[in-house]
Amino acid sequence: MRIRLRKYKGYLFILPSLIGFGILYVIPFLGGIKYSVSKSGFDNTFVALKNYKDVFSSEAFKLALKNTSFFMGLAIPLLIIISFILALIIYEIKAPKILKLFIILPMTIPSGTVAGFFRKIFGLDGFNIIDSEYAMLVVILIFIWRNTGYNLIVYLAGLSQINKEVVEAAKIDGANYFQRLKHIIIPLCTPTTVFVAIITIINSFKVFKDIYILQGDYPNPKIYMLQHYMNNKFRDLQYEKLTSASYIFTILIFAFAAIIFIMDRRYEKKVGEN
Amino acid sequence: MKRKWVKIDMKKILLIILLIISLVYISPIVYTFTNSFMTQQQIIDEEIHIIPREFNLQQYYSIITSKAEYFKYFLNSVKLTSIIIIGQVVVGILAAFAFAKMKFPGRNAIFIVYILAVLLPFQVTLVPNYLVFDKIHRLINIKIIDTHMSIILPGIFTSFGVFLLRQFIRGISSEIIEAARIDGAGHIKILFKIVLPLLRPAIFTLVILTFIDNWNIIEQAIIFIDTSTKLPLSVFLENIYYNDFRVFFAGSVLYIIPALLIFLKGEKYLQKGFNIGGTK
Repeated sequence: MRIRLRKYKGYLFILPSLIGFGILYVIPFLGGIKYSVSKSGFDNTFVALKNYKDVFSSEAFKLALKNTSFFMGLAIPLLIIISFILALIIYEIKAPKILKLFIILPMTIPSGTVAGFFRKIFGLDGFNIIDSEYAMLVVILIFIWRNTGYNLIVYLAGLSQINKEVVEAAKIDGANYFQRLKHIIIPLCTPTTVFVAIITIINSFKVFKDIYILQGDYPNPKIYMLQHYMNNKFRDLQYEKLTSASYIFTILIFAFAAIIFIMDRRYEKKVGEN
Repeated sequence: MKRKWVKIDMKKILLIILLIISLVYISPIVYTFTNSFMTQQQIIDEEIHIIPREFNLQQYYSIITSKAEYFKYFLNSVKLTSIIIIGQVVVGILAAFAFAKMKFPGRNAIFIVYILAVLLPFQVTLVPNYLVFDKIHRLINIKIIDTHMSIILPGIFTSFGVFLLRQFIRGISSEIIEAARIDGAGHIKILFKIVLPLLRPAIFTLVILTFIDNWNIIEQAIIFIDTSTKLPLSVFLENIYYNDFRVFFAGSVLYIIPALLIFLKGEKYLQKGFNIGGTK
């Protein structure tokens, strides 16, 4: 009996976490499925996928989905490229630590505190971008400004692990810098890039903080994001729409993450064959 | 010889480019700091000023003497952030240790759920949080919405801390742990005597990241909190901007400083903590 119980000892350690995580996240997440196929939060009549269809066909959701995917499709690759190039420069020229710190610090700054600056430079008379149709540009710039630091730290850690002898050997064999970059440094950084991509996706949803601080609940339609849509559903207590939208959202994110993992696997296979 | 010259020049050019870029990155922060030392006439000026015409502490003086409410919101943020950090570290260490170094049935399956949850943004996770608070209110009549608990509880039990610490503990050699076990040490002793001392970089990383996230808490607060006096300063600063602009920059600087101090203190651990996460 004692031995059999011992197998479960690990549960004692995970219990506090498991209870909280289960009650606050997992159970209601699964329980919410019921709402998403009911007529409303207060009427359990089964309506199958009607709510999902309603959400998909609502103009507000379409706008939010369009803006969010546009933002993610553009800002995520851009941020990854920028942070890789900056990390590479810092690594190669052994830049003074203070310059690295300047680029990293924005990640620590609360959105509300720098809103004074952003409102001023993006809202100047005659050059008001935040209220114009190019408002998304502001969002992308703030996103890159805030998140380069995270990625820079990860990339610098990745670069510091590259075996210098391999790079030196290629140099002696006559490979120029860009050949070494393409055939050695970038491939060796691939695991790091996967990790950076995941962090960047996670952080891309936090851009709402800055948008909300700048524009509140009813922003310029050009930057109306999925979080705005969700907030409105919260306010109206439309559980059925809220849950449907959150499952659609979940599927999209997991699909996105799965693509990255599959690409990574394929890549590793290719490298393994060589 | 000629080649070397070219190389040195390239280095200098890159250094200058990097210098310019880093100045751009730091400029919003510098602007906020310098504006906090400007007179109130200067900050309401239409033009962008980086340098104060005259250095003065008028804004700080008016916050301290006449804005007692500012500190109330500040304390709300301190309370929320510190309780979440402590809770997440304690709960996280226990669970992460078991996931990394103990064998029990269902371990991997449960951990996969934790990983999946790390990927989900607030847009998704706020919904289950809300549903459960609503249910608790209806079933046992305890109101969690519109109290600080509605922010603290989900903050403590996010899976991120468990995930991060587990990655790090996995990197600790199993041989040391096996050796201790043969010497008769129990799991708790191993955790406190062996794992915990080695865990410093990871705990610092978790503290910094959790601090940054919760010091800038927005989504949870605007959805769960209705009573304005319970808001954290991260949200209320917007109100100060619109209603009390003459103290906005000083209020912002005072709010930035704790984040900067904690970050600068633990920055050297971040690279280490992230490194483990990256290489698994």
